[in-house]
Amino acid sequence: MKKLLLALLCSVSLSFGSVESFSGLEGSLNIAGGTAHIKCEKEAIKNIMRKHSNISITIAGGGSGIGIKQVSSGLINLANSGRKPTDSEIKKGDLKLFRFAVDGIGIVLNPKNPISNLTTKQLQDIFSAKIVNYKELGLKSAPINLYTRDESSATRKVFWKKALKKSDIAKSARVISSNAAMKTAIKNDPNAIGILSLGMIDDSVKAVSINGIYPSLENVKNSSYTVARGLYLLSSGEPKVLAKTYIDYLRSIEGAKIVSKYGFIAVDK
Amino acid sequence: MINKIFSKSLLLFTSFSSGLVFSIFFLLGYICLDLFTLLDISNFLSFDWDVQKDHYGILTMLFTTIVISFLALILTFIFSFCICSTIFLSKSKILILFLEKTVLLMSAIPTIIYAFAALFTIVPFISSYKPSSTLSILVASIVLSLLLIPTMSLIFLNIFRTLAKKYQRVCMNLGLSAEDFFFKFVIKNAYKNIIQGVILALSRAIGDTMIVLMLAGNALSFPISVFDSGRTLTSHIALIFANDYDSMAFKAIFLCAFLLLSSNFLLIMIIKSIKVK
Repeated sequence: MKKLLLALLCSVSLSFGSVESFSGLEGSLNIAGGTAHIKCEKEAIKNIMRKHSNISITIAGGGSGIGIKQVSSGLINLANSGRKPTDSEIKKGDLKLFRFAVDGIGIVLNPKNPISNLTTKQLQDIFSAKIVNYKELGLKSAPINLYTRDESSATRKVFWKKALKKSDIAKSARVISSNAAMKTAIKNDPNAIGILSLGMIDDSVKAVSINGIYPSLENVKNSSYTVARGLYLLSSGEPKVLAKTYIDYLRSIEGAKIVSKYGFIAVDK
Repeated sequence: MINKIFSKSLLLFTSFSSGLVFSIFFLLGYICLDLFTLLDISNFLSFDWDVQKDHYGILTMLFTTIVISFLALILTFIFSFCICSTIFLSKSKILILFLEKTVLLMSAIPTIIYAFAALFTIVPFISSYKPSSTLSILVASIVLSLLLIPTMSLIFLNIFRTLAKKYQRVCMNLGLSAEDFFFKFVIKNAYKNIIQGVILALSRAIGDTMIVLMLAGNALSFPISVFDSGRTLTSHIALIFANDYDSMAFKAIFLCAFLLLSSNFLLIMIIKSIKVK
């Protein structure tokens, strides 16, 4: 309910687009890249394709880096990115950026883990493998199984910059290639600690506060929880009609409802 | 006339495919040579991969690839030999049919299904005994061995049956039991084919990506135990591929690809050099 109210508040400035705006359009749209966007966009795509059978939209993962690379090469129509592309990427691919949501990145543990808060120093020590056992955090002795994302992941880059303050990530950390795989790994490992998009967090994993601030939508919205990033759709050059309509739909009131349903904050700029 | 056209077409397609593979091989080699002008070769032939420090050593990945492949190969050999011996020696038609169909079914299962199933079975099982080990070299090797069983078993079965068809009746008439015939004649005469089967399975193990990517943990540290996580060359390529085209990390994966392709060429050359009777 809170999420819905927040979404409605956020969407005051959003346009009044709907799936009806796709009327008269046809063709296909290929989207790939960031994995945090997928669940939310799948619902939007389902809504569009259910009403407009002559429109085909596909979505794939691969990570933000792959998405940026593919859209720049013209392999796909739109890329999903969980980070703002670098200046050289924008220049090289003539990228146009369309932010439609804000997402937080949370530290996640297995629900059996009793930890509820970690300080920045503790996080830095855990992720650099200076702390390797939960005993050092005042808990029962058990190894800390560290999970991180691959080097091209936007989730990892934003987490490293904003939560770890650019401190080292240990080479012994297990590297997972998508948000969904990260959730599965954390869910199955009682000693796990990892990073996950807030939009992916549910009862199967447990989010912990950083310096006493819980990674909730409200805290991301009021900027008290700072480990957050924009979710972007990128096109190479100005987007064509179908791609533009899709972007507008995600940034509309109807799109904002979907965005907020999946744990993100809807924005239109 | 039709046969001639058909055989010429086959030759054309074979030459084209071979030419394509060799072109890829030489292209990779050329890119690698170019790579060595940008950074010293010792940088790449080290055990340290750290992009922030401009270290692009791929030997840790090479070592992990070798460990996982050989561990999987040992397990596969044991499983395959047991399965094939049972099929060859058993008198139960139901058991033979069951084992044969199981091996055939295994060959049709996509690698991702093996990896996905292992995430919910083998991974929690091993971590319940050793909590620090979840995604590890051991898990990846076990699951990879399941993938290799059909490749090795079908080659073994094929040669066992060929030899049996030719010599079983003669040997039986000479008074050999089925077990004697299998262990003293078939194995003795099939060892070169067995080696070929093992090498073919090894080349498949080295080239697999999905299982190691999902199950080995992909840690960049040098593994000192089979319970540790590790990253193979194929996983490394898959994970680094998303980097910027201009980055040195992206360029360095061409060396990984060159090593992979070279190792496969080498294994195929070994298979070809083994003279089978």
